Amino acid sequence: MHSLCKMTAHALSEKLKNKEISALELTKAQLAIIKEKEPEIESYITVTEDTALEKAAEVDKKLAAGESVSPLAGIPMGIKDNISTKGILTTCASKMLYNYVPPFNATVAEKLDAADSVMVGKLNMDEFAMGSSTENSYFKKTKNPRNTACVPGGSSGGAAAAVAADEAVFTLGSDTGGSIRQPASLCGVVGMKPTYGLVSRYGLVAFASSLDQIGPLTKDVTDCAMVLQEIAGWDKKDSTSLPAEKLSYISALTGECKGMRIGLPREYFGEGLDPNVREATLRAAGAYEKMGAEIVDCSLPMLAYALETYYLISSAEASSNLARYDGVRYGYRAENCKDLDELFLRTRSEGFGTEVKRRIMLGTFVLSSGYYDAYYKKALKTRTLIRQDFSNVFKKCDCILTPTSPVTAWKFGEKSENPLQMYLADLYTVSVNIAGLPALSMPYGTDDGGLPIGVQLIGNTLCENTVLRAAYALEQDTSTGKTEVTAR
Amino acid sequence: MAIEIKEIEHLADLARLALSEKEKEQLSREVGQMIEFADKLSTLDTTDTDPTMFAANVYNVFREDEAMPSLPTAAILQNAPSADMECFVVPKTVE
Amino acid sequence: MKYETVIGLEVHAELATETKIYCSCANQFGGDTNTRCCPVCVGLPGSLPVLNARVVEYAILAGLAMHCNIAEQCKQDRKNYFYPDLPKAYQISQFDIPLCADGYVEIDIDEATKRIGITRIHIEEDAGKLLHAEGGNFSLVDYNRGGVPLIEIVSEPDMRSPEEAAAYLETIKSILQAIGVSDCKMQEGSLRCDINVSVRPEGQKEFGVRSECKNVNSFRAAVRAIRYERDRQIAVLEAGGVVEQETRRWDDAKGESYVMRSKEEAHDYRYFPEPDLMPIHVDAAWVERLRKTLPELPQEKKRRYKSDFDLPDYDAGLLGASVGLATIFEATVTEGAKPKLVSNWLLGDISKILNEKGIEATEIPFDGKALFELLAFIENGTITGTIAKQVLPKMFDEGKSAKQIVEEEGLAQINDEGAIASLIQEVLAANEAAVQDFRSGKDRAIGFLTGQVMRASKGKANPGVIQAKLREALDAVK
Repeated sequence: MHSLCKMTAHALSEKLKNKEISALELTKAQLAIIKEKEPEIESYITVTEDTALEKAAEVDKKLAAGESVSPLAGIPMGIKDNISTKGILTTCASKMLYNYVPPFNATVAEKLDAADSVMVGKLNMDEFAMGSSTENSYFKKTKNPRNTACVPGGSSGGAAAAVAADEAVFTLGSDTGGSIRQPASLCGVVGMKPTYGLVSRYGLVAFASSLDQIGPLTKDVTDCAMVLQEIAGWDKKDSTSLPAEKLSYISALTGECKGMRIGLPREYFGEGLDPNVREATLRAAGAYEKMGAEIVDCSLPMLAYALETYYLISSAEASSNLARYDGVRYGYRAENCKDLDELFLRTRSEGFGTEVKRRIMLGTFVLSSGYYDAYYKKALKTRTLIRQDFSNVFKKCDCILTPTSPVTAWKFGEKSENPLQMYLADLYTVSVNIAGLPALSMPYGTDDGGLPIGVQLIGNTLCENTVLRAAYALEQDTSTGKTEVTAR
Repeated sequence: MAIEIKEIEHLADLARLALSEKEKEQLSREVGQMIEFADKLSTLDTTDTDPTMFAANVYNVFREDEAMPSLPTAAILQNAPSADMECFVVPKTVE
Repeated sequence: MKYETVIGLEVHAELATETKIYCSCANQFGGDTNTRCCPVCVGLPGSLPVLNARVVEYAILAGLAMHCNIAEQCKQDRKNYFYPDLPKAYQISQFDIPLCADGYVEIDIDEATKRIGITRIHIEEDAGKLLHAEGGNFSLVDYNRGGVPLIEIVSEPDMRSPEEAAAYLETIKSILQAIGVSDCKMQEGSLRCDINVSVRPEGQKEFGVRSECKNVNSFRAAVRAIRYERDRQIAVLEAGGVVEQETRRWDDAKGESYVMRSKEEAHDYRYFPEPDLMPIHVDAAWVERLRKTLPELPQEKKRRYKSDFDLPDYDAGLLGASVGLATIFEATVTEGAKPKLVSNWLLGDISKILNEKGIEATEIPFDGKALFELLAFIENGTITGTIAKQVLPKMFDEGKSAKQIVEEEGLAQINDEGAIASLIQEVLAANEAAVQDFRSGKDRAIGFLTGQVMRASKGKANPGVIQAKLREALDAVK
């Protein structure tokens, strides 16, 4: 049965439809793998065995009656622990929410449930999605299934590792500055951050509201398109969701990319880029050229200011978003507080980890009187310039190809001493959030040590189909020597 | 560039964080480092640039003024660290 | 030295919408704690606000009624501070670009009209409520009020006396009620204000240092707080001291205010654009559509009542300012009652009852037709004025018509000359001394005897008939 869970969602969907397997069998197999691998990988904060089995049985009935039509019906999946699930612990990997059980579902959780996919658990992450290695989780350290001495990336480290280790067929993560794409890249899976506003944020515990976006982590591009199809769409509960026309993402997967103009921005090949990653990205460009796409030399000079802009905006919003954790309504509360001040101070000091405090302090600084214009407002203006940068490039390109992360997975503890070093891992991903664009990371070969390398495809606003089409073509291509990624 | 301890204390007060002396020193260094890093933005000329305040280009997103059922009080209070008399309980407030 | 007081007011008015500003929970008063709450208004992680369209419309209506410019584009901002009644630890408000700005209202003061500038009107959400258990060492938090829509109306520092401030508050209240955007029920806290007061030597151009006074929950409290603050500041100056810029808190029970925080301790609210809400664009067509729905405003009503009904300035002003009174006034006049008579009843006995009951004129339980019936009874002699004053409270309390009450309680006027004559005989027999007085030329005795006859009839005897018959009877015994 183990081999079942190595399969993609679209392959499993066929088997379910043809009654080769039942949803219950599949879910049981999935739970068995989780049981086997969790001691080592530690992807999950909560495994929802009982509700998963119940749901699977229910789906089987529906499948038998021909009532369940979604291609995701019966597919076991996991959800990052910052996405609210009704009646199921949602901790954000923080001591602050160690016991928090939401009384409502995030819109995406609601949609996946309506599509009859089977949630098997909630996934580990950096506390409140702040981090790039999942080392900031209050609960556990998720290992990179490709090399367990290495971090899985972050903040959706659990979501990426679970897919890579076959602990879920697909997962949902959230991406504020690269938190889906970077761990997808480090773990060798596909991860996509959709256009800001395409997927409802309702129920996603906010880190930086203007940057956060939910997206899928999957085994291949087809699954990515399938999951996106289910979770995308306008939501009246999210004022920032876009009233966009509903597209068919599967139909974008034509397998060809002839005539597509793919931009290669010079700035993404500068200092700090691992030579293996550079080589793989250029190889991907070569593959595109062979497939008849046009490689366009282009420039995104504002990359030089992207990380600064990102950290100012995201920390400012986070300092406000995380103010509500005060020990009054939910979550952790410091004991024996004699007055209100003590309650607030001790609850927050004891409940938040180091990285979260660091960002709250930075965010408080940039919004505080006297610094707002110089830092926060300045960052909003730079944001405008970064957006202009992209719109200039999209005048002559359909899609942009870059490395996802400048480096492959690193060893535990290697970057955790120096926050700035850690932040640099997000250099190539943050601009996309600042500009609100869709981007996908897909595995493309390995480095000298056999660790996965990911390449990133960035599209224009709401051009998910362009990104998916390009990604699928590259995935199908066998002309260049891309190596299969497998767990050690 | 480190941020002065006094400034760190002020920020911690605004953010309602109680910091140990060690944390204060560490944060004064690290936040200072971040600010120094961000100071690079000041070299950019943004005189004629408007700030991007909103992530999506939509406006007038409204809801009709129609009441929907609220959550049961039990659900509202289910996560409360302390509740009594159908209310959240906090230490006595003076203000 | 003589001092001039300079006053500016920030009025918070709860809007009378069906639902809260950012969620679909009902916007009501009272009821059990935490029963009108949802993930959004309790600030559960992951919940998101969605703006109630009616809040924007009501705020624009208020802006138009107060002659404001309506911003073509505005946004909402977060005001960050910690307090247990503020579930997200930020209040969604508007900072640098309010929905409405640069308007004015006209107040009546000393038989003249004065313009008070309106700096801005913005929309924001209300906080929950803290309940303090008697003697306990804890407080309770109820979020029912959390997320109730408010408009904050900020005036220019244009008022110069507590009386002007009171007139301003009455004007704001009458306008908001007239356009139907707020109930303005003081006792339910749907209208609250913060007061900015400074004093300066008469003739000085520059403003003095101002203090801000919070927690003022009634108009009466506002006047008292202003007087207190004016006197306090003058005393400080007279003693050679300096007025500090500070935030004070009014304690209405003690009739004094105390310092909440000094200028140095002033909050740094770290306002920034609310990223969860999109901007508001108001085009000219929308404004015009709303402008067309504006009803007649209090000042316009006042003018019309003076010209159409010949009411005195005082009557017209009071009736025009109250939606409730104006509605019943016009309805009663339409039925055929004399305007001044209706006004007398409304501003006299009816207002007195409203005050005693502590209810608003909009809550008068009968309509103009019913009031007309009562007045017509007096006019056509069915009941006396004295009886009418007894019938009126019953119309409030029992919800019955004047006719019903008069019939059920046998209050109809006695016009029967014979019956009245026999009452007179009884009264004369019982009041020998008064009759003697009359005989010795003391005409005053007539008044006393009339009263006695009326009393004997329990107020029901026709006063005209009493007069005539009493004269007759007295003449007969002369």
